[in-house]
Amino acid sequence: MIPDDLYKTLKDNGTISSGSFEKMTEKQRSPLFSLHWELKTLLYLGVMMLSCGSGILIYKNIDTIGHQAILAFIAAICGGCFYYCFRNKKPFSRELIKAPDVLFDYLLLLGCLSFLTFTGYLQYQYQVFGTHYGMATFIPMVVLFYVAYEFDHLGVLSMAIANLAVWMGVSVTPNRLLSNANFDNQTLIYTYLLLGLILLLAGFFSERFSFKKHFRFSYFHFGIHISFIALVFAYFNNYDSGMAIIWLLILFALAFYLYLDALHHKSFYFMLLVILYSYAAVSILVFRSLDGMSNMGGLYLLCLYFIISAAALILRIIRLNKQIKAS
Amino acid sequence: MIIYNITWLKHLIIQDQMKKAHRANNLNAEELQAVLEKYPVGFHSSNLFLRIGLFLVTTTLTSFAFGFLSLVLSNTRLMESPGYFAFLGVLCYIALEIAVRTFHHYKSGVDDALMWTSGMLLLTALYIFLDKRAFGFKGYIDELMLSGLVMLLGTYFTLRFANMVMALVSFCAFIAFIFFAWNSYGFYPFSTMPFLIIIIAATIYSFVLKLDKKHWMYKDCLGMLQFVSLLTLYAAGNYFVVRELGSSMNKVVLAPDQDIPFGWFFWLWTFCIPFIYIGIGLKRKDVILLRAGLILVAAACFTLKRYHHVASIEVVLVASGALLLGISYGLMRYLETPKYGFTVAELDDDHMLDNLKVESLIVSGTFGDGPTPPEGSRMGGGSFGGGGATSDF
Repeated sequence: MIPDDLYKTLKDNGTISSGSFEKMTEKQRSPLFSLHWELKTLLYLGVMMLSCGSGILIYKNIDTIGHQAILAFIAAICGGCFYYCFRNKKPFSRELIKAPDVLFDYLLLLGCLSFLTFTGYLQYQYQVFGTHYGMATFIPMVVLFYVAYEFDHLGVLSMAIANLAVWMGVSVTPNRLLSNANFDNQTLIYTYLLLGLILLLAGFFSERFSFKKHFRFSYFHFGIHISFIALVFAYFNNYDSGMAIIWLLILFALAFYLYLDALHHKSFYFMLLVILYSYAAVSILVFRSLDGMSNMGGLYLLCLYFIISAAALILRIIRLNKQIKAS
Repeated sequence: MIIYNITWLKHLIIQDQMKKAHRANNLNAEELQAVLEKYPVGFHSSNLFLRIGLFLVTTTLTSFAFGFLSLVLSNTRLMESPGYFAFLGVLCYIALEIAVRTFHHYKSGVDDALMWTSGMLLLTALYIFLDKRAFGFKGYIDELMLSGLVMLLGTYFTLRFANMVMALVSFCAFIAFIFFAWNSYGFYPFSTMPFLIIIIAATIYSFVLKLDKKHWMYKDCLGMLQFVSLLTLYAAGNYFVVRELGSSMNKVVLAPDQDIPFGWFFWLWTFCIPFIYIGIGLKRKDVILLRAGLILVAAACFTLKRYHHVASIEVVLVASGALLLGISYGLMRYLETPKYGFTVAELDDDHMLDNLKVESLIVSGTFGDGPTPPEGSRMGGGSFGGGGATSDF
């Protein structure tokens, strides 16, 4: 693949130093073949199959095993995993900590999952928390946030955010958000909006106080999706009143702030999200204003609007791409 | 044939290579900068997210532009003819050529959108033509013509734009073409089909392997072709595929315990091929063979499960899960210090996904999607249902 004498050419015309040349040719001479991804995938599959299989096994044999035994078994898995993790963990730091080995991440994940199962089971079977459902979801959430920060695990952080949403009365995975479409409830929309803003703030503060800066991504990922979707639905919920426009104005203001932020952080992903959501919002407005014209003229104008705006958007994105790359 | 500036393609490879070296700390930043300046690339390419975004926006643009055109022409009868779609397809292709030649788009999203739209429109034209014509052909003529066109278009786009997915499409269309042709005109098609496909897939694989050394511009396409030809080679002899496809093509109903002719051969094929792939893959250190083999082991297990009751599903899951955990953990420990040129360390820390923590998203996608609690009764300890996964089975 590489032209064989590339390194030599580079060295001869003085682009790279002879030290770098030595290093690279040395590496080329003894190439290592990495099985990293293959083994990691197998490990992941193994964890999934094992937890699924044991779940079914328990479910089918619940009459013969008895609830205490199952609870003890789940607690044992959970305890074992956390024991391993606490034994092998590196000291806490506000910066990124790399996991000591590959197994560590998966055991931590397994521990958290079995902890959730454990509390859920306890509540379902024995109603430990009685009717204080808030408490039943609050405790797992706190534990998950603690674990995520203590062991620096992004997967657990996502679970914790999902749990925060459950606690606030909603479910958080983005695809679920759209497919459920249960948005006619005013309070639900405000809860979503509040959740989204809290997550954005959390992301903002993680960076501001450089406390686990890399968690900002997860916070923003969930925060942006949730707050934009909530704002759009708030608009539709009040569609008939003239005040509806306020929601879209809030959306544009938020979009503008996040756009500058994404530009500052050179994040293509957040940039794209902001652009697409605000484009959708603008299109909703245009569609509404053209809706009044019932003749063909409206349709022509709509087509023209999309042609022109899409072309402008393409040019804008291309310019942005160049701008970010150049900086 | 290829539309791109070949010097730039070469420079792109050099840049990638040097960036990798830089990430591995074999090259310092100034040297990297010097290399990047010495070997410039003039392409306009996007990273993954912008590529998706541009793809979406370009598709919006083309669909509304064609919608507008159709609105203007809506009073004429022009739109009903297949020629109209062919015309739109050609229009799209011209736009694609301009985007790539004049504006140097290279995997930017704009070119992808235009390429797929133009291909789909041309295909639609043929489909409408076949659908509307007054006379009918016997046999699989329609299928033959459609798969033939897909194959031709796919091959053309692959050669001109070096697009990996197009290579995949044209390979699949080629196999479909052979399948339908042999079914209509072949020699004992029912019994010879698996062997024919096996021979063809093997021939393509070895041919592609030879090409791989010479045609570096098509490296991705050739890799993709290797991968699918390996999968096809296996599928053609897989017991499940042969049995079910064969009986449905010939409208024969097989009793559950009825065997097929040469059943032993197909069973042997089903189980040996994955391990042969893995073995050769490890020996040659060929990632494609290795990964194909690993995927096919799963396929072999599913095939066995389909026809023979080994144990109940949960026992199989627990046993194989434990086995997988054991094997992968053991191998990781064994290879902690590299042996025989193998290692478990992550060699290239590639940041191409915009620092997206893909794994965390996957985890939240699989686990985070708990049952939405109805309002007022917030039940369940969090987002993971534990034994609730049973509902899938």
